[in-house]
Amino acid sequence: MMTEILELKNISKSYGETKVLNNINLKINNNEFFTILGSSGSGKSTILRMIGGFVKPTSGQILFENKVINEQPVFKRPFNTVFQDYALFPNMNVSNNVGFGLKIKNINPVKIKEKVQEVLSVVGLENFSDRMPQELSGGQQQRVALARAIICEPKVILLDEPLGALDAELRKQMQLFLKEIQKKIKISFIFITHDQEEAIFLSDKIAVLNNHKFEQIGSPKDLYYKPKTTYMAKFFGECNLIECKIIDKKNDTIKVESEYGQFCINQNTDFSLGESIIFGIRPEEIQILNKSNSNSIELLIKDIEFRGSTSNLNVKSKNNKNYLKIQNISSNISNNFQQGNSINLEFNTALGTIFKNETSS
Amino acid sequence: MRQVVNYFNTSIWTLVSFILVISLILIPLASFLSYSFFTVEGTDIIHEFSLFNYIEFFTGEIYISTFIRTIFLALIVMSICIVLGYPVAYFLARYAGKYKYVILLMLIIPLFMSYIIKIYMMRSILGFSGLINKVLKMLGIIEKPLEFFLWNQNAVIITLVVILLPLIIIPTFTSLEKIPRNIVEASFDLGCKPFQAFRYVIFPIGLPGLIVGSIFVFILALGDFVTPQLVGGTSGFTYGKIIYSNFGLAFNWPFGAALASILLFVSVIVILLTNYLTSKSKS
Repeated sequence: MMTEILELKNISKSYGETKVLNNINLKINNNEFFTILGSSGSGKSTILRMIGGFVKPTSGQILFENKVINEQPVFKRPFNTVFQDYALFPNMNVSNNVGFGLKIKNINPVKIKEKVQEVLSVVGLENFSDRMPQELSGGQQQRVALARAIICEPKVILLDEPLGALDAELRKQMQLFLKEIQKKIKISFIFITHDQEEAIFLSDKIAVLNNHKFEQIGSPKDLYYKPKTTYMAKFFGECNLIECKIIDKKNDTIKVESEYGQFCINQNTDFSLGESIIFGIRPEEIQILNKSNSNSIELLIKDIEFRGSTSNLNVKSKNNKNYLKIQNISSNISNNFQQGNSINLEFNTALGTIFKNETSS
Repeated sequence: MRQVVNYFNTSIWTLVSFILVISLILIPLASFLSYSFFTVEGTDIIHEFSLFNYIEFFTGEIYISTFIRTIFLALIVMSICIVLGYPVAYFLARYAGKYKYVILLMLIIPLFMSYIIKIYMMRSILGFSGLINKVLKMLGIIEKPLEFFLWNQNAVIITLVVILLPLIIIPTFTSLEKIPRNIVEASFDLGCKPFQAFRYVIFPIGLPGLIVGSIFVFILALGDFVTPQLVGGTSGFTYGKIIYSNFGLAFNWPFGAALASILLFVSVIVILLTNYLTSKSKS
């Protein structure tokens, strides 16, 4: 049932000399919770404003249901926006705010009233219809803004960092609320945030914006387990990046030499013997062994971070400054160690990722 | 100890502000009001309570009719100021970009100039051999100078509009400029065409500024006496001019005070009424 409804094709945007977006491509499916994740100033709001029609791309095409809509004015686009600071009309009460989109379409006032009540009950504000926006809390204003968008039955709802202004507790509540409501009303959401945890929790798909381009687009699990670049590997959670050189290659295994010693990686790869690579391994995929085995490496404990029931270890080789992080070791185990002890480790290499080493020539 | 000093400080300042308000606003107003209940015999003011002045106002031939005519004049000036000023304020607030404050400054500068000088300037523009007539003559549009512009009601209206226009532009600009971009965008986003965005969102939200400016203009035009004096001739007689002549020429201060009290009363009513109407339209 996944049909593609919105596409950005080779979109670039510059303001004068400053490039904001460089040739980005994006496809959004029906009923999808799609998140654009990027730091502030990365151009993520610009993308949303382009889809909404407030900004024109310098080059490239915006397609809705396979039709180019670059020139379509804002008021004709079948999208509605939930603005960052809600942008509720201060001169109208809650029900007039919510019903505004229908009023503009000249719909029968009695029908509007019914619909407003219906939508207000969806967002849990049925008793607030006579309040003025100024009399509502941030979270309530947020829900009015969402109701105002939902009632127009748009094909896509654009949400521009809608949770940015809320405190942590309320933010969590609203995340749950947004996720539930999106499943309920079955409208595609394009959501913008700089918060990685929020993105992972909410999204069906995430596009990570870095350096004016999409670094990677995929499901949260894809991004975590199959990062395409070292930037992405470091983006969600921790990742140890180890510079290696391939010293032996068999069918589904390569042997590498690194500053931490030699080990085998149980993966198929296109890299050939002698090439320099970077091996990324998450801290939780490193195991501490009681005894050394054929594929273990021996390292020294640099320091132990006690965190209560679990601890984090940093380990290094004898002559090196760099260290590896190992996380969530049961403290029952880590309490037996001391700084400077040597331990045997094994990488769960099947869940690691091999990257090209961009820095080596 | 420090708290005591602080407390003392606050109460001193409260006291000072009360004294200022009482001595500079309330006492003059009260004396003004009390004068309106006195009468004049010859050149002496009789300090005895009497409603004579008010009775004179309601029974005299010219007072009420002049007052009503002046209210109309002020309404006309206000309407012209709205029609001319609103588009300027709108343009400045929404489209003038980085130049808006420069242009606004140019609109404010005339407010620092003497009021009398501005009226004289208008006289030299509107007069028989003034700028307008000269230009029209030079262009061959007219043969002899038009009398339309000076020594009549039109001249009073034109001059008041020119002088009071900034007073409507500034508050209107301020309230229009305060409207966040997001809110206007939200109206487009919800399907408004540009005119609908103006009608349902921009105009209502900016309305308080326009109302404040309109009240400024209306009340100043209502009480003005210098403009009719200098450009109005005989047909441009206004209520303000009657008050002025009672104080300055006839030396009938009590009657002048009574006329002025009536003006004050009407002005306050207008302000309260608009206040009530705007707060009612909001809820």
